[in-house]
Amino acid sequence: MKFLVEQNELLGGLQIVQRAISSRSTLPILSGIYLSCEHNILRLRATDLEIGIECTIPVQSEAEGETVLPARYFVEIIKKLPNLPITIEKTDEGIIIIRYGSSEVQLNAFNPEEFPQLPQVEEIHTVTVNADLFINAIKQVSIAASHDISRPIFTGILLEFSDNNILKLVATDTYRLAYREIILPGTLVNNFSCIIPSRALGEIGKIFWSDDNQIEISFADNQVLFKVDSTILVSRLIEGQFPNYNQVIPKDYSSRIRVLTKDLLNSAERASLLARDEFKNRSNVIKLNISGNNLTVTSKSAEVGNLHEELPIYLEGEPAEIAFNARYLIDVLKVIDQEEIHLDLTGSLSPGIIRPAEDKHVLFLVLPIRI
Amino acid sequence: MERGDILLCDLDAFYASVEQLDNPEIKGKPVIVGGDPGKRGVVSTCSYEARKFGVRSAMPLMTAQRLCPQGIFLKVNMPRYQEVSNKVFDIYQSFTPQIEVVSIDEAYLEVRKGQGTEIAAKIRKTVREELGLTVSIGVSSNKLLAKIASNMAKPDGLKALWPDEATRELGNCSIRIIPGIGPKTAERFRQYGIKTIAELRAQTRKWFIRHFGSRGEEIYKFVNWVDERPLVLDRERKSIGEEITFSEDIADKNQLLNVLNQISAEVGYRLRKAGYHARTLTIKVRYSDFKTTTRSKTVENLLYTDWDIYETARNLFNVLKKNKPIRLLGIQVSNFGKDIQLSLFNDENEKKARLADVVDRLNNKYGKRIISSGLGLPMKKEELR
Repeated sequence: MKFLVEQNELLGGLQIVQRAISSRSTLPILSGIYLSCEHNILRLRATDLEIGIECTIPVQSEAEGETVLPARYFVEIIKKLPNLPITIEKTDEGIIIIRYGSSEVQLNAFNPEEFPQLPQVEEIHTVTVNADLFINAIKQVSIAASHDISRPIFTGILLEFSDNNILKLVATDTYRLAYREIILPGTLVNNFSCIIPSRALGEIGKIFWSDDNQIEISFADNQVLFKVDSTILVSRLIEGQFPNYNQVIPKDYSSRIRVLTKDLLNSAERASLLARDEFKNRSNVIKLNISGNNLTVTSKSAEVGNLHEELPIYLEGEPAEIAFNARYLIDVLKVIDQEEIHLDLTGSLSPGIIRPAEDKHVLFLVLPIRI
Repeated sequence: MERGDILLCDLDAFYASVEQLDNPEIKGKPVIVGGDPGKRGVVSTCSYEARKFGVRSAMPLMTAQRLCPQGIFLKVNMPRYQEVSNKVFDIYQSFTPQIEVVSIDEAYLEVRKGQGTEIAAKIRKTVREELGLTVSIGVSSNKLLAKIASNMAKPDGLKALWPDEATRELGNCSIRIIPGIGPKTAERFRQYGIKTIAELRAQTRKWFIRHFGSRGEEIYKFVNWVDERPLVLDRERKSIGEEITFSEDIADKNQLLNVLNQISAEVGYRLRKAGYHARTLTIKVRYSDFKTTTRSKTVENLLYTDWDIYETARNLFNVLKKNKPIRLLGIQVSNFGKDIQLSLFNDENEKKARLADVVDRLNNKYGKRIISSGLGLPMKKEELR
């Protein structure tokens, strides 16, 4: 194997596939990046067996071949090289020589035959989504996904394709729930749904760009493949039944407030500073008291002090009082890019519903704290 | 502030006494509280009548039945015991606000210096007259001697033991009377030819440290009747815990899980009564060779029901090495909170919590064990067979 490549082209590709490498992998070879060179194309691949990323970059190939290099060293070295052509060559002993100018680095490589192939995705459904919309939707919904691997369903995001070309994305860790719908152009064949690990979707926003225009998504029985040009990401799907989220979204409310997103966000962030309990975990309770055209935000910490803020709001319905985990409110308010939100409440023990005032396609539930 | 007199008040055979109180027909009979001897389980408490047959706490119920076939075996009715315990503590409270709750049936009280013996006598009289229970009380100037004195006072006695008398009075006693010296430590001292308190006191501080390390230093202080531990008052309490030291080391896993189960019920009841949820659970295991291990877990969903506590404790217990018999098991919950984050799709947990509240309330109200669920916890089908 021998080829000539531009430093910035190679680094760009490496930084994309590197995202699939997990520091928790137990197989040493999975800490490596697979390279294969053929017909002036260099193929890069990495995987942690849950997700796999592959991309190609143009090179001038002199000899075909393949290898697997330890990502940690390979990427760092390439990153520190000047933007010049680099020659990469494999010796008969399987050692990799990286030549730049009159200098060189030799790296020991893994046996490329031991590197896993990406799973074949035998697609049942294929859809094309607008990259900008899709990446933005993931950003909004993924805040509600859980990190608790003991309940795998909640670590994923539900993708539900239904009539009228609507794609619904839903995530919940049971303490909050995020819902977003996207209208897809063109007609779909079937209604179907699947649960994709939120980590895989998080990577989508990092390896693809919103100006990539269109993302092609292919679904198989237990895999999903995302593709833009020559870059693909394959992920396993999470098995199991997503709970019936429609059932838990309140249809009515007894109080609706309209408030400036920024106002409430800044207030919640300040209140959260004084809401840490003595053990610094969980709770993080802030209280909202709604009456007239006034929202009172309060929080207190036995050791530090307390906070009391008044925000102007527009109230429709009854006065209300409710307590939330400040972090859950902040997470939601940060991903809403509109100037105003609606907060709908029904008593102090029912979920609060937050949505941008002018957007019917997105909705967040935040469960209150009983105090 | 000058330290006052310390009282260790210990209710005699508490669970069994409450049962005898509620059911006069079994008064004077060997009552064994723990459960049905046909099932797995261990003795929680037994009456003094049963102790005559050799029945002891933490002994498997089946063994207890063999030793005492005429024994009256009863299930643990924690809410009722807690109710009676509260009444006893109310009485303590009327004498002094300085109370350290050790367990459901044991407490240290601090009273004004010089009044210890007098107040102890009044407490014993009041508890007997108002509740029909006997409480043994040890009186001294520190917790150590108060504890030793109460053991000497039992059952139904009062004993004052001051440091200047302790040496003379305890000189010929076994070193086992010192809390913390169990059979294994006693055996190690015996290898140096030490059996009595007098022989132990003949050793220098250096000798203790050389042979027993930091524990040795503690024993040295104790045996010179020095104990500076203050009372830990209830409002400063940041954890609720229970531990049991077995009369004999236990190796059988099922028997250990049964003990864990019983401790969970007791800790759970006290936790709910205090109006708290806990975030952290710690189990403590002491092996036959005195190596002590603790394991903690801070949980996502707050601990509230006996079942939450048992499940978490069992998971921690299951990953511990159990290649040696165990002499002590304990559970402690801490990191209290009162705020509950509500959640979606978790009906099960909410229901269990509400069920625990209702059962506690009903049992409190009607006193008798009108509701109990086997060992207090759901069992797997195969365990029921």
